[in-house]
Amino acid sequence: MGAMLTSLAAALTTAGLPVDEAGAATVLGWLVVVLGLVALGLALRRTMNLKIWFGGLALAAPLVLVLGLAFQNDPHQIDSPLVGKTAPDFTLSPIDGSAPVRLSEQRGMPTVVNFWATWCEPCKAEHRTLVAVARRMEGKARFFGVVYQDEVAKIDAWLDKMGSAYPQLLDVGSKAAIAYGVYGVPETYIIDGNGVITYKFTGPVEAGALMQQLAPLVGS
Amino acid sequence: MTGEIGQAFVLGGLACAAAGSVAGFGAGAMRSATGWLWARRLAYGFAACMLLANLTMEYALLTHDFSVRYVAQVGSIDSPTYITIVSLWSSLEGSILFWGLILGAYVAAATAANRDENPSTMPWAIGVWLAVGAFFCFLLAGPANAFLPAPNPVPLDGPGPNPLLQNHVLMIIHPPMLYLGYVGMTIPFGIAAGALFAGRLEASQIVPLRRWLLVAWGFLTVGITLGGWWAYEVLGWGGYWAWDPVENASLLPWLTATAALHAAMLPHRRGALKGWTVTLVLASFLLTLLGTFMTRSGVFNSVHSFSQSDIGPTILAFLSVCLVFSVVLLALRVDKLEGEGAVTAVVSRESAFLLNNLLFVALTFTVLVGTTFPLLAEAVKGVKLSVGEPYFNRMAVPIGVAILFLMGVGPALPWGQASGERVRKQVLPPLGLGIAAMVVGFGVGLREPWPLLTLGCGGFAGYVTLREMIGPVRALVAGNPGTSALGAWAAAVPQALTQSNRRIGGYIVHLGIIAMIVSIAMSSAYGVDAEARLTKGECMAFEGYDICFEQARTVKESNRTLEVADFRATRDGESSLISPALASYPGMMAPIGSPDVKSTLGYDLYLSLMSINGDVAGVHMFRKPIVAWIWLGAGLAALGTLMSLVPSRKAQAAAVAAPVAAEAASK
Repeated sequence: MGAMLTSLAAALTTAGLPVDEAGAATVLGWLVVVLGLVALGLALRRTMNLKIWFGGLALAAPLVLVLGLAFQNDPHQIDSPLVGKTAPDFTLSPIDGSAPVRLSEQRGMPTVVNFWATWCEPCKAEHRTLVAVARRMEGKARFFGVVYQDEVAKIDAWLDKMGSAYPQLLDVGSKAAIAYGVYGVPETYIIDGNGVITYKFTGPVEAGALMQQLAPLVGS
Repeated sequence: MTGEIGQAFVLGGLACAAAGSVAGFGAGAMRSATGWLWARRLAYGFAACMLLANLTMEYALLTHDFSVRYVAQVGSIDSPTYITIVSLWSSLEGSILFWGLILGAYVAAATAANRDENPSTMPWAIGVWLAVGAFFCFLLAGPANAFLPAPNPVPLDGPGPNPLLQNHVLMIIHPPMLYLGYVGMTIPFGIAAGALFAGRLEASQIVPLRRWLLVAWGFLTVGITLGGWWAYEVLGWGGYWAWDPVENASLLPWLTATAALHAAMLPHRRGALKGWTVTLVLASFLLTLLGTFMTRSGVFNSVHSFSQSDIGPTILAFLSVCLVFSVVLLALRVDKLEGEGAVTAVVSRESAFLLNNLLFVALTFTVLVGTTFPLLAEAVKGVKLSVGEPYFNRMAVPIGVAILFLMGVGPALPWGQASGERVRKQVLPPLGLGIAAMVVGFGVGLREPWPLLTLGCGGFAGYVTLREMIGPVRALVAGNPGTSALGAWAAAVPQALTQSNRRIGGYIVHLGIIAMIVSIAMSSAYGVDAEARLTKGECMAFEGYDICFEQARTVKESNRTLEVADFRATRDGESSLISPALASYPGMMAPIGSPDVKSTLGYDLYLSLMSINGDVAGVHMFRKPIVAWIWLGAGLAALGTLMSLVPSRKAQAAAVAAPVAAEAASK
């Protein structure tokens, strides 16, 4: 079934309807229902007003298909103009008081920069994912948290509770956030070994999507 | 504990609605009086469960019981009490719970009002209402469960509701009004479906159909306008309508319901177009579901969208089921409805109504296509695009002006065949006023063709409406000779109001809508704006005003901090203080603008604070003509709707007389 959906998705994409597996399942289910309804109309043609039946279907079926396919898209995922460009450099101090980190000195390994804050609810859910992925990618990718508009005491308490696996940098004066055009937290930037931004997540990241973005960069 | 109690009420509501729906359909199919009785009892049971579930949630909110997840999401100890009360509908799950309450109230009221009427169709209607109720209870019990426990450990405080919603009192009234409009469409939907199931639509069914349609329509009108008013007062871009997907979603059922209200007068009068009327009613309900989907599925990007959720597919599935149900029902049964009458006369009120219906349906399709096209483009091409205002304005303005023109033509023409002589006598004087209005408009410097035409059509339709409105009064005065003219009028007005309240109410609605269309045209075509940076004490000239930045101050409230800039606007020796502000809420990145408007019947002066930095304020100024008439027009429309809904003395007398006559006849 899974393989069938994958090949259907590929076929639909070639035919001009770019869909993923879920989209292909939507199209398939929709097709079955529409054919069933057409058959129902034909079976009941003696009692049914076929003009209304097929007219109604012709209006309703495309609407439902378009609405169904819309679930593939996230309207909040706005492509950043920074994707494909060199990541803006920053030098920020970690909250544990160790030496400042300069982003442009971190090349040679893919880097994940996550903007967040303790007052941000979605950041909580996302943090566990980031910590887990960071542990798994240890030695293959670097992770940095950039804490936006926040206080060290609150961040410490938050991290004590939520766990920590990578350096957390304090964005004093929101300079880094402004340089990256951060619109809201959380936002997460994927930077390749040459310092070029390859992807931006708006909103909380999911483990699968994050691994998918990192996999080609770590080259394993 | 509170969570479990609430959960129990939701499940109770689900049980009542599901069982009641089965009982209703069963009673309709088998004409069973017992089934009909039980369907009604279960309808009241559903309403009671919804009320209790909502009271439970209010209790949890007011006691800040953060063990309930919804309270932990939207509650905050610092919020003022009234914000805590209304946060019931400030987020997704709570708004669906509130939806359930409104549906319960509607179903109970409609069941009680129609318990003795149309025993062959009402059981079907209750079956449909409760099926819808069962779906919303299912949402509440599963995908949008408001009573789930909060994650451990129970938080000590919550973030409070979305700051945009806390920012203005209109936001407290706008959603409930809109919900009352949306949910209200369920009742006419059920009655129309009942008519199809039973295979007949008679005058006795058209009366409740129109009445409940009018209730929902009135709330929808008020809800949409309040939304525009809120956007105008809060969002700070100087406008009230942006053709945003969710705004369009509320407009769509309004358009079809307006068409349906007019269409319903034809079978009432002529026995014609029953199937068409029923179709429009079904479509209005389906479009409210589409609106619900658009707001709550997360596929549209809009200021109105609730946060991403997984109830979208469930609502889409329900919408699809209702679509198929409606089309099947229509296809199977509509041929049974078509009655005796037909529309034959070309120049008649009937044909004006038909044209009105065509225009409304055309506008509905225009808006629907414009709203869903970006989704289609993204699905097929993978590009994000928005159709935007130019498309909507280019399409909607001509149709709107044509509808305005018809608002004058329809009432001016008589029912049935009209003689050329009569038509000329009825139409020419108002047409003269319309042309005069255009000449005056041109004289004072209006040059844009569409606003001028709108003004002309507004004058034409306004004249006809007023003439038809005082028609009943004049008829009474004419039938009462002998007394002094003043005395006759004084006696005739209250008498006409009680006798012809539906007709007069309808024309008051028309007056309100005419005022709205004309003021929308004028305010959007002849608004002026400017941006400026002013240092404390600095003044600037703007459209005849002298605007001075007097001072900046900070106001701390329990849930927010306001950076207020005080401006003094002086014109012709009259000065007023205008104080736009930027509001900061904890947990929000950017502050929210709180513009300030100095509103008069002629002009609005609207100041929106863009930035404030020490003694320098960035301000966006707007001056727009006759914006206030939009809100007044909506108020007038609401008043007219209320008047039409009061049962007229004639109907009351008929209701009393009927059983008496029946009794007399049976003896």
